[in-house]
Amino acid sequence: MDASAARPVVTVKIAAVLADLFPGAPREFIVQAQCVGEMIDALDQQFPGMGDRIRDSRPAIRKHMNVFVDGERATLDTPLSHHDEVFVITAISGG
Amino acid sequence: MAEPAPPSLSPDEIQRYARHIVLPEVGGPGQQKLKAARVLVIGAGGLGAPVIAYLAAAGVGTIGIVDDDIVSLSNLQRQVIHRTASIGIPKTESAAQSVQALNDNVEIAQHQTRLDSENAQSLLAGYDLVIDGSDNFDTRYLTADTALGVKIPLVTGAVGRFDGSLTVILPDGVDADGRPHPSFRDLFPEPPPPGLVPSCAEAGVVGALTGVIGTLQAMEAIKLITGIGEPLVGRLLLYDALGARFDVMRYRKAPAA
Repeated sequence: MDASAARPVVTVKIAAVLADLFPGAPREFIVQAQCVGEMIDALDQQFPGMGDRIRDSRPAIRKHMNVFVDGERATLDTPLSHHDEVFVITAISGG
Repeated sequence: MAEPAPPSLSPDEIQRYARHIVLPEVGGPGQQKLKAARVLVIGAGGLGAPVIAYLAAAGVGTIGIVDDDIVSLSNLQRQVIHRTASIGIPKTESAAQSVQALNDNVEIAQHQTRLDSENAQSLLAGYDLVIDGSDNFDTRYLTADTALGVKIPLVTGAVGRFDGSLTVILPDGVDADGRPHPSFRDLFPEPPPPGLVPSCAEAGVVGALTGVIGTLQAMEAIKLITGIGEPLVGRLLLYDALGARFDVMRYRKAPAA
């Protein structure tokens, strides 16, 4: 059996300022991942370098960013379930 | 020491604020709280404009405005309290003129200066509540840290291109689980590296978006002052204007490192 078939399918919405760093990147992705860390790997596979923009070398989510899974703040280890909606946001400053 | 008596409302004020006073949640006592309130607004720009206009219309007694900028032509696409005739004058002065024309019961304190580490504490300490409508990370973190230090609530909002967000930070108290309310640094511990997140001048912003977020900030301020409803504490409201979506994210105080 294909291992990826068992992985939850989730929708990932990323911040505009993050998408803008990767020409052609959409604001919304559909990926399969067991946890937030794997989800970031999946984004990085599609747009190499995106993972480093979200995750630092500790490793943890960067301090000016946040990942929320179904409205709750997540860490790299947060598990994902089918149809979860994940937001990857960054602090913004415009006023 | 006894609390000072709430300020009375004149017949003219009772008529002016009739649509507030008829609300059971606000009523005369709520309107008196608004009249007694002192609110500091950081920035008289895209967010500050609707904040100042709605708080002035609502009858907030004293509105302080911190801004060191002057009105320019490119401001007028979104900073709706300033007029073409105001180009070249300080934003604090332009905002004060606008408020005076709207509601002369409101006292405006013009702080024509840039918020910095030297003046932040003395500026914020004179107010009951601060609303951040600034346009840079240095001011945002300084405002948040200082509000916590002088123990006043903060309503902070931000915009960029077609997206906006806001949240409310309380300096003390606990949530339903007995945990202290989160601070701004519990949400975003550090600002992004310089140059990573473009400013509105670099990336653009739709004027109406600042109206949406600024108006929501004014609403949260009115709730805090009158003590009604559920303030946006421990929750970050995201607005995606292109998708016409509001989403609410929850966050808590970070565990001690």
